[in-house]
Amino acid sequence: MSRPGFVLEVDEKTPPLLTLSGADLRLERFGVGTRVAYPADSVASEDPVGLIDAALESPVGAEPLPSTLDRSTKLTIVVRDDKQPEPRMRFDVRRSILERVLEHAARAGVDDVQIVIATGLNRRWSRPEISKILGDRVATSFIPDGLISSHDVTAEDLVTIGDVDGVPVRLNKRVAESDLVVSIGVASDHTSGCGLALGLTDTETINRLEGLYADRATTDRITRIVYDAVPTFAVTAVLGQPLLGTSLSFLNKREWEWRLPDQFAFATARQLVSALTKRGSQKLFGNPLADYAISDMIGGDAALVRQQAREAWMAANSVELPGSADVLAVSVWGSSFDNGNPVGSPINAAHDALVEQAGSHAGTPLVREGGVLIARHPLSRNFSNRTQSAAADLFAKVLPETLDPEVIRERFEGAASLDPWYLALYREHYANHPLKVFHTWYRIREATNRLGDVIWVGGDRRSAAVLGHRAATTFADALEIASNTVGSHPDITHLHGPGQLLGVVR
Amino acid sequence: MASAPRSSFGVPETASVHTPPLLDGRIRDLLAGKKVVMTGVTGFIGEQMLWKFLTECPEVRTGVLVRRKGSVTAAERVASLLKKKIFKPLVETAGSVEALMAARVDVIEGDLPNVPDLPRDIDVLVHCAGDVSFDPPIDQAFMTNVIGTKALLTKFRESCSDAAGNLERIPHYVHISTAYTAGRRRGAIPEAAHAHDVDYEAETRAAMAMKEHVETLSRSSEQLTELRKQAERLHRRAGYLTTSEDTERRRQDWVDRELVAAGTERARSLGWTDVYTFAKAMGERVVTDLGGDMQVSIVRPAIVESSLRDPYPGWIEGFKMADPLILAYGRGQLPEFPASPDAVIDIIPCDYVVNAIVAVCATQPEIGQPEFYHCSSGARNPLTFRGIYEHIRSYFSQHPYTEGQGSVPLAVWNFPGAEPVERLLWFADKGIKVGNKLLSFAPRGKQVRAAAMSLDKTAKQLDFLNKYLSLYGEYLQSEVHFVDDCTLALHHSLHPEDREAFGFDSGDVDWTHYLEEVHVPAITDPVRRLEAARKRRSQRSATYKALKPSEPGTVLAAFDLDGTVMATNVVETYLWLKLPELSIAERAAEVAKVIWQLPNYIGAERKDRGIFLRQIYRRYAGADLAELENFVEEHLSAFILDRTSPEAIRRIREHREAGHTTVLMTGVIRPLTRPFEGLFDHIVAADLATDATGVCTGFLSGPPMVGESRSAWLRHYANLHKFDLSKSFAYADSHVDLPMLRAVGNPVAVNPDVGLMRAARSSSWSVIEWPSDSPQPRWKLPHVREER
Repeated sequence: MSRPGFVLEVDEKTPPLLTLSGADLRLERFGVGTRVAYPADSVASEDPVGLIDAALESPVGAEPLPSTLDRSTKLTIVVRDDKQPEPRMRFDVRRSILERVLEHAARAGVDDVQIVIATGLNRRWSRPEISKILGDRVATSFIPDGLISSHDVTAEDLVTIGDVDGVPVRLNKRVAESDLVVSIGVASDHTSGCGLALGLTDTETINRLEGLYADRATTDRITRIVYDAVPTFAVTAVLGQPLLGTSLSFLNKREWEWRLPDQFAFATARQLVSALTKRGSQKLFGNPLADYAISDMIGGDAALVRQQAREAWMAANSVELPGSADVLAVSVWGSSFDNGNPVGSPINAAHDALVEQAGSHAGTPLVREGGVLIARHPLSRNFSNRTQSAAADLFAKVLPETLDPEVIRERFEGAASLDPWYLALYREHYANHPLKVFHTWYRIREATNRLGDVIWVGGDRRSAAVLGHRAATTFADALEIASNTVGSHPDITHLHGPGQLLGVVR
Repeated sequence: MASAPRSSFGVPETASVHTPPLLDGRIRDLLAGKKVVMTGVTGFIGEQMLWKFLTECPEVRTGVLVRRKGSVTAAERVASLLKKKIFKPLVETAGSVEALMAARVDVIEGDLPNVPDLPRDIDVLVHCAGDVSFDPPIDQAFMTNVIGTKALLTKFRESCSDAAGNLERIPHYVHISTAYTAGRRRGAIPEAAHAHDVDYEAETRAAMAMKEHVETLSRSSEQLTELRKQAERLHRRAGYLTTSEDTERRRQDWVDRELVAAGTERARSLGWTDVYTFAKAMGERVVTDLGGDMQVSIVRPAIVESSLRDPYPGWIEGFKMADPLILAYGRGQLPEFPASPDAVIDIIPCDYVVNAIVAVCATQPEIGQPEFYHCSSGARNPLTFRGIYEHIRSYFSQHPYTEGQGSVPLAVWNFPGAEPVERLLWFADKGIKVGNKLLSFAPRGKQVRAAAMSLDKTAKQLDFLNKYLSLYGEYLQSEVHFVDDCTLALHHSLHPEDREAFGFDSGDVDWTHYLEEVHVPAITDPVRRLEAARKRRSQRSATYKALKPSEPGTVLAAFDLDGTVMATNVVETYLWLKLPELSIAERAAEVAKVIWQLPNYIGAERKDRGIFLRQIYRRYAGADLAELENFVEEHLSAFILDRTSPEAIRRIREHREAGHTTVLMTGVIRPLTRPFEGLFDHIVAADLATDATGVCTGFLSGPPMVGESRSAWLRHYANLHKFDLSKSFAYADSHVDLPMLRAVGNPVAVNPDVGLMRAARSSSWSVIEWPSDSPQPRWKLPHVREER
């Protein structure tokens, strides 16, 4: 068991603490009295096979998996991909689970096995990606026969499995026609979305789950319909905190525990990032991989597994905070949410700060209503032209016109989700579905609305203005700007990256 | 006691001074009932002269000899002249322009030297037409000033003669020449015919023959080869047609230049500064020869600038001699000027000249005794070059040409003489040549474009300086002064009531007032307004504009790929295709091979892009086309899309939304354009030829689509499918694409190279940047195992 997360109250003896901004790393001295919340320590992973076997053989609310398989079973293994832990997993635990499940299937003589990646609105997987994530063994035995596919939310052959308020819920054909679905995924945050519903249904349904007017009751009904449609055995690995590799190993430790190698690694990384060109630093730090310890592995009935996995993650990663802060400060580390782009795009940066980090709480928000969020990120306008084309256009053309989600939904969402170029990028060039950025924006806006101000330290002024936020040069300036809203002696909580904690406000 | 030595010429003996015919009444009365015909009324002096006659001499009937200009008839030209502001009161009194013309202005349509038959009732003919350019080609100078004058005088004589050719009445011919017909003479120039024994007939014949001669020379193979090489250096990459167009333009320029040089040299060999004054002097001789039995007056104005009083202070049409220099000084573009500070610049306001001419018209000179009048200021009210400099400097210090950003400190001139300035110019010229050479090798980029722009600006200033130095150098060193005793005598004989309206005593001009309050504001204010308007115009994007929806199938939008939509080039794309399948060592070898060939490629690229492309495609020999396509599909498409510029994609999509048909025109091989299929209605790319087994031969199945083939393709496609090219758009980045851009109405230069940027700026096309801010580094290779 790793050391749990905790809150450090900064005093005179506290050393400078690490902050991240885009690709930039620095040590900063924090004001006395600032509360710095650290997530639980990250530890190295161990061989998960034992955990997997236990999950498969003593599941919750279901028969053990091996006993449900026989020769005639039409088996579909769903790899959930609606959410990925960021940074990416160095070794994807889903691969271990998948291989184990396939072994059981082979042992039972199951002939008809297919793999469906439940990508939902996210990028579909290219062949190299499949090999990379699921391993060459799976890739070489499944790809040539077309037995592995990414779900296409726009596919025409989706099967209607029920309806909610007269609107049909349509599911991936192969999944809907299977005798048994084994759903494999990870739990790496506290969100409660159902990977199957979000990953395997149609655009319309996903829009009702995650769109502007999503509501709990509809979500529950859709999820239920999906679970009822096919017998599902879920296996979910609960992940710990990311353990970063050698050159970034100092990120895994608390600053006062840094040894000479860590200090040296930090100094090197810092100098390299500032000395090298964007390209150079990208090569070094653009694609960080992290090792995740598996803190728990749960198998069985999909709904139960989902709930238990979530509870397990929350229990392992929660940090108690004494109260909602006036000012919440977060570090936005580009590499952790936009792969291949060390800095990160402005919309995803805002999502990371406002939704992922500030939204990771057990009910009481980390920052009070009308408080201020200060995030560190350069907000430079770099969107991937291929995977984020819709996001780039939203940022360049829609947001300068209006920030209002209702107006955006009314005027732009429909056209974008039917746009032939976006859809061509989604289907053929492994881009995000155009709807995704709209959902992202709605969440950003919801989070912004309850705040007095959002200030980006070191952020591009025009980008911040496009987002409806503000930019400041230094943290002190940001506090100065914030003082209009929260006064000159605000209560500051700083979330220490790069891992993610669950804030439990007492 | 000895008297002090005289510093001037002293008072002359009265007997030796020629007295011109004087005025013995009011001018309007002297000219009442007469018919005055003028040439050159569409010019600067002529226009005001017509105004003067119409305004001040109500009983004069005027006639104007005007030539037709294209489809605009002489009458229409005169009508539009009379619509100008200064004629407004006259038109109002007459009722309309037509009424004014019917009552007072007799339009004679005709040209010099093809003069039509003139009316038989002309009393005074004022010949004011002529070239105002200082450096016309020699043939043109003689055509207007000698042959034209001769033809006019001949017709004039005919109109006053009976059938046998005998004069029936004695008319008055007033010839407007220039004071500078004195040529390179120094010192005091009297108001008399210049002494010289140049045979104008022979000179005219030689001048006309020169035209033929130079035309023939320009068509010689040596000359044409030389010109073609010059054109190729600039435009070879754009294609043969563009080059040949440029060659022909260069040939015509060369002919003009040669003829100008021939004129200048001939003039100098005979003692004149330039062909303008030479031909004018010859013209004077024609007048004195042919007007032996007529009343003849010759008026020689010096440098005529804006009016001091009439029709209003500062009235001027167009730019006169000194004005570009004044403006250039105000703009800070003249750091120094090699003139003698004490050279007298003989400026005379236009209304003084016009008044003098009208007064001369009213005189009755003796038959066979041509009268000469100098309209000048240098003799009695000299204005030195340094004086002008100080007035202009004082004006611009009080009224800076530009304020705020872009304002420049006014230069302080030390008048170092010609030599240092010429040396400076020589070095600057060499510097610009070296700079241009370096730029031609520089990789394209924002900084290179900025450097090219500043180089062009400097070159333009140098050209300007060189041009004006060679044009006016002589005048600014001149040490002549024009005696204007006759003109002064004529002025003094003005009726007291005419003094106000007709005075022309240059001695009464207050130069401070004239230069600082009248003339310089008169020429700078309109330019300021013009530039402000131009600035506003250029802020609105010229050809890169917001798209309006159009009828589908009427508007094309053509895009170049390399460098425009995508930051890459054909060498790079070749490496993308080739390298990923090789081992590290093989990769290094392949890259080394390409680098070894690079000088060849660059050389070929600079010569002819088609050759270059063929050389690159050669490297595809032996590749399996199907496999190539497969590879692009599997591994490259994502990579290629990552490299495209988001702005480009957005623009293409906007075109599609507006109902335009989008076309991709590129030299890259077709498989590489696969990822763009969703964006373009039509893709024109290079097709690799294959043998029977589908293996690339290294050749193309047709010529590569570069340069002029692109414009030809666009025209043909537009013709076939009824597109309107004038409403269409094209986007390209390279000088090679010039023909493609020229083919459409809205060409846009995207991240242009220096050649295209210059072309775009001279045609005022939009120049824009489409950065590819791909998160991918430029030199990243596609991985066969693509990462997420």
